[in-house]
Amino acid sequence: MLIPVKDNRRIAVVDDNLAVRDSLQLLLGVHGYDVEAFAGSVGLLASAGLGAFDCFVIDLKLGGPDGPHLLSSVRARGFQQPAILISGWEVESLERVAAEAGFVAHVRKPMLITSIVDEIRRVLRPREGRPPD
Amino acid sequence: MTDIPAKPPAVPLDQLDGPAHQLHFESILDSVPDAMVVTDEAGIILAFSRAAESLFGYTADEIIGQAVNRLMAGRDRMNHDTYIGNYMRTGHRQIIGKGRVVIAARADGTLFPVDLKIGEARIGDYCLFTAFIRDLSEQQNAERRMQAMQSELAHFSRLSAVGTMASALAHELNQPLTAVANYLEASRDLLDSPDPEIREVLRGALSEAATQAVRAGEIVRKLRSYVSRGEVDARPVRLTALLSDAVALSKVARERADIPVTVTVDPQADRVLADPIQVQQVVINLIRNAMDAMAGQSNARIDIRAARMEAGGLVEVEVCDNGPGLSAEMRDSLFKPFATTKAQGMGLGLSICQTIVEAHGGTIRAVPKTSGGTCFRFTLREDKDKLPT
Repeated sequence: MLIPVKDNRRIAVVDDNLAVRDSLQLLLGVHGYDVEAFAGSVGLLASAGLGAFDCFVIDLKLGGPDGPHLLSSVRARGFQQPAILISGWEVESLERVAAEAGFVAHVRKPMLITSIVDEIRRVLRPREGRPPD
Repeated sequence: MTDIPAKPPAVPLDQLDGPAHQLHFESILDSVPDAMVVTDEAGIILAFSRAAESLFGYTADEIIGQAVNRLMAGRDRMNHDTYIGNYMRTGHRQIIGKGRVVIAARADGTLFPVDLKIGEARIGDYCLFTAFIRDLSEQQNAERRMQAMQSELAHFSRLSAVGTMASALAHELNQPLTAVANYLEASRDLLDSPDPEIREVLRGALSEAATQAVRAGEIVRKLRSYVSRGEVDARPVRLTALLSDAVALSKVARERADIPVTVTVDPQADRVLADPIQVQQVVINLIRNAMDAMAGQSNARIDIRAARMEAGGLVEVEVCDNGPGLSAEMRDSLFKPFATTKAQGMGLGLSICQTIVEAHGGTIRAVPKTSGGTCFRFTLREDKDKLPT
């Protein structure tokens, strides 16, 4: 990676749109995070390092099971890292669905108002409070 | 020769006496699966089937003796008497025997599309009309429903197509916009680094942002060209009918369908050149915006007026609400794409309205009402040749 790594914490980004994935990878990379991007549920769940991520950023609509569904699968495997939902759709009772699935934050695309970086900073605990993998 | 099973004796329908006839008729009213409404030639309801009761929400007792146009909406409600009058005078059949799709009104004011077939019976000097009404909104096979819809309701399907497409496009549009925002945020943070490698990353991010912005623009163009394909099929139309239909359509499947909407058209302004489907979309959009602006307001009302302008051969149509009005900020960005104050909105409605009006050679603007609320005014070209009546 060309960008100096300042933080070193690992973030998994799951979005089925290539431009969104690439741009998030760059943006979060610039902010010192180590980002791994996945195009869908299958990729993330198959990832050997699922437990090594510090935070999940997951899109609502994915090809296949949706974001809340994916997070439930992650939780079912015993991983409790904080997760942020990103969504470009306005869906009825989305806030409730997101909270029930265990998302601690929700950022609406195109994210111009709430920067995803601010949310990640907020949900990631200070380093010493980092949850066990 | 094959055996023909013995048939039970046929009921001598033609020989039933008066009371038996009445019983037979009542059994039909109770059991006919479609809503059935019988009227006299003045449009007064004489009979109302069980299915009609559940479809319209009136009991037979309360609706019998009332005018049938109570069950209708839009121009059909206004023109029903004329239809019957014309038919009685000229024998010209506008609907009898043909069947067509119209918009009906329930007792609670909600509107819904129906397939209407009318038969007539002459009994001596009297004329009875029997209408069979099928609820198209409930029909399971949506595709067959679409086929059944005739030209009059083509704009219905078009409208819903726009709605469906708009929400799909909203999502499509959010993807490149998200990417643009991310690339630009990242670029801002990289801006101060003198490292040539980082400068290269910055350059890449900015050109990627530009590419994505262009992509967003293409998506908008697609939507705009969908509603206005360059040329407008402007033809002589009557504004009164166009506006009443738009009012009826704007209330379909809306929560605030009970907001009173008045339509006042100066007779001098009734004839315009317009693509009725497109101009209806403008009016529907303005009405729905007004409804949204007045959500939860108990004295909400919408007044639509059309008048001929002094100069320029133009007719001005205004859609006024008595909502909270527009902030100065909103007024500035009103017709810009993606400017919206609605959580669920895309901010394209007024931009599309503007595209349509301008394609018709008119202009659209918003004017604050002195008494509170907002008027949207747009112009159309008047039809100078005038229509035959």
